[in-house]
Amino acid sequence: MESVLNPVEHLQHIFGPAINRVSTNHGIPVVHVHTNQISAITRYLHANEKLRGTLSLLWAVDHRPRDVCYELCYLFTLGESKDWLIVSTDLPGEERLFESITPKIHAANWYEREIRDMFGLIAHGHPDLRRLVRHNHWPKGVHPLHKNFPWNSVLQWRQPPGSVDGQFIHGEGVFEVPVGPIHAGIIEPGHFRFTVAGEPIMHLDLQHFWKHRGVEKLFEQQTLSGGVALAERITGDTTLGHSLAYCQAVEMLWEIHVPRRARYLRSMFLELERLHNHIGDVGGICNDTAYALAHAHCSRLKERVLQLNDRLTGSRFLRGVNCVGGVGIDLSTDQFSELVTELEHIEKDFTELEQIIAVNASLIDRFESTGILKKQTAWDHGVVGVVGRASGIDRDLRRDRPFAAYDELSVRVAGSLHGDVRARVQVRVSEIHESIRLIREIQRMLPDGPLKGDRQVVPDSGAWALSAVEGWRGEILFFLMIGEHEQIHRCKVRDPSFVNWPAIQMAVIGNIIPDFPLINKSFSLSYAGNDL
Amino acid sequence: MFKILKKSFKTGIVTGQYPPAPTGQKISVAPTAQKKAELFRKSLTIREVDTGSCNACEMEMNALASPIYDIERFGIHIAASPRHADALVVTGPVTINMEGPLKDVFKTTPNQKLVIALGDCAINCGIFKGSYAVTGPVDQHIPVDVRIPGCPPRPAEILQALEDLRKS
Ligand code: SF4
Repeated sequence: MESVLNPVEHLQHIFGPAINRVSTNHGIPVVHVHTNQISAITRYLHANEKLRGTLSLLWAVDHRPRDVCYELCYLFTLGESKDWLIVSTDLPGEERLFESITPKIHAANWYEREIRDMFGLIAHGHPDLRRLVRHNHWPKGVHPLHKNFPWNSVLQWRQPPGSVDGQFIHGEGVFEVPVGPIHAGIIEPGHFRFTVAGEPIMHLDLQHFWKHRGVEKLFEQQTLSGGVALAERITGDTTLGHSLAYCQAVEMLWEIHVPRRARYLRSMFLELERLHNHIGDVGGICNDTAYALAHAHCSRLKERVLQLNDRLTGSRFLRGVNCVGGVGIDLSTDQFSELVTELEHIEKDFTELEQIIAVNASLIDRFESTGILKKQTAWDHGVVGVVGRASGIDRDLRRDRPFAAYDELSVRVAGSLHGDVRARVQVRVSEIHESIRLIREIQRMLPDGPLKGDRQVVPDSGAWALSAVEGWRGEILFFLMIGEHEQIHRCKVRDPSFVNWPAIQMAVIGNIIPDFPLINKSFSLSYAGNDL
Repeated sequence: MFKILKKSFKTGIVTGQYPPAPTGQKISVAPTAQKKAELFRKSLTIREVDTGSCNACEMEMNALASPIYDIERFGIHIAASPRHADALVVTGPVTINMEGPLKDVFKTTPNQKLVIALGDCAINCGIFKGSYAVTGPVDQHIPVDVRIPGCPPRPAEILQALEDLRKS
């Protein structure tokens, strides 16, 4: 009988009285449940064979001043159908405790720690409630996303207490190797704490959030139309992905119909962004095996794409391309042919390089079976994007929840089952070719027409939207809720790095520290997008 | 091995294949900096420190090391440790969590040293100005000698700025 039930009915059938009400928002079902049932219901969603939900996002909203309560929302992506379902619950009044789901759903780990830091809500039963965003020198009781915390009350830095708050393994011959926050090379700051016994890594403890700039709070100072520039600066390498996800959320709230031409251009620019990042990463990964020539060639090709971006849009990182309602930049037919010709050169050049790299024995030796992320581990942690696809998680929003023009383009999703560095390189290489193919396709199909749509409605305070974009790294999610006068009430940003970072801790176990930079580069995650 | 060498020969020299930096950039150089820079006329070793940037500024710094810009031809090297550096290039607004490490890095870098604030964020916190987690632009915490504006400044502009600094 259950087979004919949709997921919401399925939950109602099992948990009837625990469910307060069910609603739909922009096509996403929201199941509102009793707080004390949250753990049971999410666990069921996650483990049930028919539903097989992965936790895609977990966030909190402080509804003050409209309503004296906090709301916790759990977004699940369901197994085969990849449909979304939100489970939500209220913490009224001064209630601060909720039941942790991390013991059963590992993907919730960092989210629940983040919620504790940002809101002061405590996930009861969480196995590791160390501070995440708030480093040890932050004063007690500071929870920046509380509505009564002023966005501009700058915190004072104090000399941190000497002790390090880490997870340690003790024993004879066990060593700690701390690395960072400032690394050799031009990379962003992060602290990695390795525990080794002899050569192999037994445990890696990540301490991030050095770059926490308070992005989500800064969004709350913006109006809906003003947030694009900030979205572009969440993580510079994904300027277009983030601004697109943000714009889509606003467009849902304003019910803007984005014209077809604009949707095609958005897809095209998104593929250009994927291209320069993937080419750069393939080079960077080679560089971490000391294969400097391949790196030099890749950075040369990457630079060509960046210069192309600059010629087409006036920005090497595609800033200013997206605006609410469409795109701010059009391409002439001539520009399009320049683009496609240049990409043909780049593809030919890259293919030659790829053939050389692919048969290099010492490179294969370093790549193969290094940093394996097993499919089950990836699934448990809700890993997304390139890293997920390389571990057999067949998910790509361009196909699963088409946005921009992807409903009219058929994307061939790359994948692998091996989950090692080589698989991640291969997925990137396939995606490079696919991006170029898609851009050619877009040139062929590009319709004429306007570039911007107009807003249709004035949404009520409390209206919200959830949007998703498959950026070059993976799924970018934006939750956007408006308050009075179209001021942003809450903006939850989820860069794919946030879910993939914890998984790297699993992928390095048993590898040697000198392979860590290689594994890390093959994940290629953002610190800025993670730290917010 | 031979195949990639062959490819490199076929590709030829790509250094310099970039549009020139626009003239009239608004780079500001502190009066004392010129004198310090004299020391590093022939060779300058840089350590890059990210104190909270969006990472586009880093990507442009990385681009400088690519064959297209090849910063080494000007005698400019990127050091792996602040102890080996003549100049610190700082990107991003200074976040509360990076304030300590930035001060440490400054202390560890031997004197004489130059501090270059790269990008709008490092100069005036840019779009992140005022946030609870941003404790100020770089010069709030360590003395800054050179400011290269832009969001982000193009690699050609950074090169030009470094050249100008050492020429004068
Ligand atoms: S100046 Fe611009 S590009 Fe540089 S870190 Fe700041 S926001 Fe990013």
